[in-house]
Amino acid sequence: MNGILQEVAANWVVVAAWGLVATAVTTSVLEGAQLFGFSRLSLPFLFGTFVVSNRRRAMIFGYLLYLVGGWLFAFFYALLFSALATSEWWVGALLGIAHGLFLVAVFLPTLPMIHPRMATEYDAPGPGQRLEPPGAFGLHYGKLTPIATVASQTVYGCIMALAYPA
Amino acid sequence: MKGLDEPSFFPPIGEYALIGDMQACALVSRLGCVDWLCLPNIADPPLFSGVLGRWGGRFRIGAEGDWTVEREYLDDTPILRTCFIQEAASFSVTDFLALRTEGLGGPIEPERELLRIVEVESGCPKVAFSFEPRPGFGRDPRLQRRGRNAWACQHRADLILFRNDFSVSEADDRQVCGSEQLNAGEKRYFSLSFCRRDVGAIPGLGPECETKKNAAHDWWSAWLSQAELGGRFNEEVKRSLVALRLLTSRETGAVAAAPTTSLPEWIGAKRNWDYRYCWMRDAYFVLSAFIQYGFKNEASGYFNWLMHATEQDKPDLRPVYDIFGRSDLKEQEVSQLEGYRNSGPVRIGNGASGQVQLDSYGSVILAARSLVEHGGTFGVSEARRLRGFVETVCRRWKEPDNGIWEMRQGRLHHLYSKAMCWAALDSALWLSDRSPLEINRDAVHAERAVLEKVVCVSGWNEKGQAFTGALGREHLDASVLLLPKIGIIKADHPHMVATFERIDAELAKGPFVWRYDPAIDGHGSPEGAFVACCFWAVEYLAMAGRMEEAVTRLQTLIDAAGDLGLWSEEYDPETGHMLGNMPQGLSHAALLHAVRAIHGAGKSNS
Repeated sequence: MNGILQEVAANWVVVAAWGLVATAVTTSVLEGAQLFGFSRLSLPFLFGTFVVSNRRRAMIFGYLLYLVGGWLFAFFYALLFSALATSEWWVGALLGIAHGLFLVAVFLPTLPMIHPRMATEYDAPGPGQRLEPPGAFGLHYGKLTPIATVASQTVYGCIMALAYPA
Repeated sequence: MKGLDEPSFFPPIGEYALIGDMQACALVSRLGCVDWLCLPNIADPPLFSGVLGRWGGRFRIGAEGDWTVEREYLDDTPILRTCFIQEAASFSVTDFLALRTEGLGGPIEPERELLRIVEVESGCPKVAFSFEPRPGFGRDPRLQRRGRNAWACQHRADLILFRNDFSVSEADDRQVCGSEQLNAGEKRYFSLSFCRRDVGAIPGLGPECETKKNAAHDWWSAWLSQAELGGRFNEEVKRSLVALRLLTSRETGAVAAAPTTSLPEWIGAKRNWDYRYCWMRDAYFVLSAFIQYGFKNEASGYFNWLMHATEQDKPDLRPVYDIFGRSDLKEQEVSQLEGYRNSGPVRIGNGASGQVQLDSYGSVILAARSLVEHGGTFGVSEARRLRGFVETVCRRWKEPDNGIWEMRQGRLHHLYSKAMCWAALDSALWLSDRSPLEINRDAVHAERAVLEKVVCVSGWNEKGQAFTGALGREHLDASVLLLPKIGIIKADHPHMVATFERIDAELAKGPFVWRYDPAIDGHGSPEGAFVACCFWAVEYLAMAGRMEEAVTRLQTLIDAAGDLGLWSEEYDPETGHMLGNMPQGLSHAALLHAVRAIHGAGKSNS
């Protein structure tokens, strides 16, 4: 275990730099899906509204939080690559797919229970709960939301795999 | 349609009320039915297009049986209150589009929201509603239940969310309907919200709707309080100003000609056009209407949009752009809808975008002049753009064009187009002394002199004793009533007086003036009197000092308007029905100019 941590620590600059790149690309894929009308999901906006209710500030905070989250996940991916002793692109892709599936199958459906500003399907929204819940697999945000989310995470995994020297 | 009588499809066009939020506009019938609503912007595909076909979708609130209906706009704001009255019971429906007055900095709100508030004043009426969305002209509504009293309709990247607090609602994938016996003092709320390419915001009902109503009321009241009114006809002026403001995009400053498409200029004919765009020919009339009544922000915003929209085509002008400045407005027919009272086809887009309309140059440069006359300014880049237009006028005024009426059967040397080219050069000379506009004054002077002769000499038909509609032709055209307004000839010049008398004799019935004899435009059908021409005639009379006639005519016209004072494009005096797209910005701008001319003439007389 120490060896894995030491390997990641030795490569922290690579992980941090490419984590930033991978997060930026993932964001672009998701935002692109929004612009093309494939999905209405905006993870930065959902993250931002965890902390503020003002739409403008929510976008700014959301992008910062998303960036920090992307960096943290970069170290998690690096740990996995080191543990598996491989960082082939397809390994990264598989990790990304698993990550994406977790997001659409677990994270998004449970979001209404933890998000302070999201309505649930069972209650009328109060003044504070105004955001539309994502529904199963995020399908309330558009039919292609699961595909766009998994695709973006797959890209993230591939970039991290190609960058990390395991 | 549970609890509601079968709707009388296609009520008279003039009975529609307009509500909006300065991006989207809805038409509400006397029966409390929203028959037209495009989202998120004025020229986007409609969510409800029941005014154009039975399959078009609508959102109705009412009650079974015979009710007396009374309507009003609350304190002149575009918040509509429709009262349903019987001996034993009465209730009202208040309709408006919410304004996001705090913008992105405020709480999370949907992109657009239509709110409808039902309030029982007396008795225990059984109020019913039916909600039938048809996004994309009736394609695939896909209504899905979301929670207890909410339904969502996902169409491409759009989310349409419908909520209400009725206790009983039934739904399938095409409609939601319900009814409830209510007691005096009870209220019910309906919210229809919209967002595109974004996580949806779910607005609250109840007190939140009241807060939004008050916010909208306060905004509109504050806006109207800026109006510099002149005394007579204030109610009509305020209604026209609000109608124009509703057609003005708060995002871009553009002013659409009308919020609708394909309402026919004659029942059963094919004179149906999409007017949800911005015509350059209207620029002067609309901008100067705003600025004359004290709305400098709207005038400046519109001028800025004019400069933005024309960036791509400089130094030429397209006749029409959409509110974002796009000029590729391909005309298509919508086969799903039969048209208002079977007056198909329903068209979207407008083929006029490919026409040549030389009067547009005059309209834009006159708009710039009007802005500067009232204390506005523009910079060097705008001056360069205007200089390009002036040079285009000098280069192209000898060409035939499609004219202000967009004749589709061929180009002519329209007299109004030549006169507006003269106005472009005359205004450029005026502006070059008072703004950064730099032009070759000698060349412009020379061209202006030639144009003056062309209009005033070649345009005069000695045999017919009137200015002709087009050089080398003999038909009359009511647009020449504007010649004194743009300054090329005095209103009391014998040729103008004679022209007015002929137009009044041959193109008018009472105060209702046709733009030309409909036989000349090749459409093979009659049409209604052109409302803007009716007001131009009033303005002409006021300018000619014939005040009594002007006021009498204006009063007769005002009496012919509907209960809410809105004007469409055309009017049939035989039936008393409005025709064409509703309401029409040019009609309201012309009314504003006519009233101002009467006020101005009154002041100069006193």
